[in-house]
Amino acid sequence: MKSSTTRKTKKNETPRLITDKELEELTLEVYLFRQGWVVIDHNYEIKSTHRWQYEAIEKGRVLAKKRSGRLLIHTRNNRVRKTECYWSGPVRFEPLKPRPPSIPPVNATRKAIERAVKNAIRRVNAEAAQQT
Amino acid sequence: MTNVLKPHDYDKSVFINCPFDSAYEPLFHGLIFAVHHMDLEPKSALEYIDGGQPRLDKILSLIERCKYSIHDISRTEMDPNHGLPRFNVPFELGLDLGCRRFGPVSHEQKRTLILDLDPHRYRTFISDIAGLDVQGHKGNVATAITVIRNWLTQSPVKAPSGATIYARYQAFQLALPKMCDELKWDIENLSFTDYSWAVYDWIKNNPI
Repeated sequence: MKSSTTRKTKKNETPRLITDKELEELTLEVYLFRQGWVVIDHNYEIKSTHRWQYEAIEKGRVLAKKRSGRLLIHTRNNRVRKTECYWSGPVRFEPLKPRPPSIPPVNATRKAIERAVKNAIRRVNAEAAQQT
Repeated sequence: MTNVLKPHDYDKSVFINCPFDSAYEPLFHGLIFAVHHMDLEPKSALEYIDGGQPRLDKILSLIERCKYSIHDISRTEMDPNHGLPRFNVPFELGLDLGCRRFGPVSHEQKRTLILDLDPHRYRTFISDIAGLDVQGHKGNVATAITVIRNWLTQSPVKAPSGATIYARYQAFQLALPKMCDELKWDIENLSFTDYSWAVYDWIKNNPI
């Protein structure tokens, strides 16, 4: 039988990649709503309602640990006061990817803009290389 | 061509409510860049070309459809021509706060950042907003970018620092005239959507 002090993760374990979508699904949040302090999931579904914030945090911690996720604790003004992570093993976040604007460009096509941006980056890099 | 308003993600949209004069443009461009860099989409009343829709309707629609909103109340000076201050930004800030208070439950999660030159100056002219999130940018693009980054970040591991984003913003500013040359755009009169697309493509093609 393994003792309780046995290391549960490998020493050089490869970090697990967490994508943005997965991160959202694993996140629970503690908010002050009209009905009191609540724990909600990514679909705004209220998991529990409490009179005091510390009760909501305790409940949120239990739920976050259960799903090996993350708990965001908000202040009364909806600012994130604290982030608690309960991942199992090391994790690596998906690199940031910018979101394309939802409105199309007005004075050029998307392809033309992308081409111009790539050319501009190339020219700036070439100029920087010449200077050095 | 009339732009059709496409649905976008509520959780990923940031409404930027600020002055649109040329003096404010560097800050406005910095805010757009910072928001794009945080994997979110900046929205502004300037993105609509359709002149048929009343401006207030456009703004209300944006407030309703963006979880995050940034209101810059730093422009409190009198207009030199009329001797009167402009009230648009505080008015829209009020609409946003009202939406959070009286709207459906999902709007209770709305997050609002108020920007000013100094974080305490508002007490002399709009003291009723005391207790809200008011941050100062001192008219400085680097400070504004850092404030936006710190406000929008929820997981410190995910986002680069404000200084890194500002350094990348400066690199983008170097490339912008070259893009405008190729696309035959007037760099002094860039539309919001064109600038937004240029920022998006630059970040996409120039990862950290």
